[in-house]
Amino acid sequence: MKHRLRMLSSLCKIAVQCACTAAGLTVAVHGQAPLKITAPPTGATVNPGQTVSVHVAVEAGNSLSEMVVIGETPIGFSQALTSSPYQFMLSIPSSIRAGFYSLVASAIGPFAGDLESDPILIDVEPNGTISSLHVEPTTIQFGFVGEQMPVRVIGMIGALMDITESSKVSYSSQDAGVAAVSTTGIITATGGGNTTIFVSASGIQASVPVSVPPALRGDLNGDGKVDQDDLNVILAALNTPATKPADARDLNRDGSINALDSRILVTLCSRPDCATH
Amino acid sequence: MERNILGYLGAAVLLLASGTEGFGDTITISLTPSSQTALLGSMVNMTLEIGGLGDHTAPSLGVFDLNLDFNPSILSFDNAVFGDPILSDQLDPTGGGNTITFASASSGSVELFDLSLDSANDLNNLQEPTFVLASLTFDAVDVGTSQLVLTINTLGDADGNPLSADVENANIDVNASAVPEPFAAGLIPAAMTLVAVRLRRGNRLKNSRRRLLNER
Repeated sequence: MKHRLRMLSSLCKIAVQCACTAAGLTVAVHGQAPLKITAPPTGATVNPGQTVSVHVAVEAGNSLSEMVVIGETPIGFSQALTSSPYQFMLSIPSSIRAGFYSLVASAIGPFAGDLESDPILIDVEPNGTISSLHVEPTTIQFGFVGEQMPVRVIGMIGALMDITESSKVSYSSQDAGVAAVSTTGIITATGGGNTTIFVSASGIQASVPVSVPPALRGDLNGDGKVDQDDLNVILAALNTPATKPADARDLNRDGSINALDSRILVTLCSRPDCATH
Repeated sequence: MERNILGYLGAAVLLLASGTEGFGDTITISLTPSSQTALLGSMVNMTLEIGGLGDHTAPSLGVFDLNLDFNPSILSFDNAVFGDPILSDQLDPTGGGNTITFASASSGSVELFDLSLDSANDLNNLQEPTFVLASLTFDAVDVGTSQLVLTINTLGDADGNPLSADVENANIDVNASAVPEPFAAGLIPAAMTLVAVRLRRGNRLKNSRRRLLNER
């Protein structure tokens, strides 16, 4: 399931032709593409440094003058072919980050103009055993509840590789009431206190201590005071929805960051006129 | 018996009257004047007012965030000056310049925001019940009628609690700066001149012909 969600989330990021719903599970492709990548299948796992054979089928009746396969950066372009069989060799860079990458076949038809296939995703995963894990940053001190921060996970698999979004890596939080972590390593401060984020891959575990300041109501920048700097945090997000699960800027918990929150913050200011300390 | 009934009715009326006092006035945000005419190319002034707040007591106004929509093909937003021109800014009754304001305009709409940084006590004790929130200026850019429609994004009291208010909108008629002379009317003097010239010429020809015949 996690694998699938990651894949769909990557599809949402890269595919121009697809529209994903808020649930991230519905993919709508507009129109029927006259080109189709038949191999590798979407979701296929490949390794850094590997050469992948990509096969493209052309719908009958489409005359083409040239075709290439385009891989999401840093994979790049294949060689161009002017006639069938459309079988391409695509090199996966050895220094690539682990995760999902899109491939699209693109062709020029002498009469029909440019043609493009639906994108497929390949899962680039390290080839070999992960011998050690390193997480950056090593500790996280959040400024306020609702703040988000990504972590970067580096694994030693013969050489160092960024495996933050690898399907081999899993994340968990000791106390989701203090900090929650997503499947792609985004940590969100959810409440005051201290906790630990665990990162696991191939039986190896790394941990990141996380602290979230005690909730001084209205102290949105975590400096222990409530002043105009905190007011500016609200004004910068005026009339936007609050982020879930808890957004310290939404002081009246009505689900929206608005002028009422700005006035409530004024009443919480540590100094008269909300003066900055 | 009749006397008793009348007595009860009187008491009931008195109770009702005293009971409604505690509810206070309805808060109203209005555009003044509600209707006005302007010449094409001129500037049009309008005030945004609030009434029905507590008279030096709660509820006072601590913040407002309003949208004002208009027809951009007829009016163009020029500027907004926050505060009452006579009573000064009633969201800053202590006079320390303690407000955050902005007027953010886009085509056909302007967002008006004013946040008081004064304490809730100062607002409740010093604020007037009715005052001007902002003076607005538009440019009349084309002939026609534009409605000015207010939408309350947020209206909050001194403690940041929501306030509800009635809204009174306005409209502005923009007329052409000079009334053009109708085309046909403009031709009348020319036509009359032409007729006069023709008549005179006709008379002259007739006289010449008569003179010739007489001579023969």
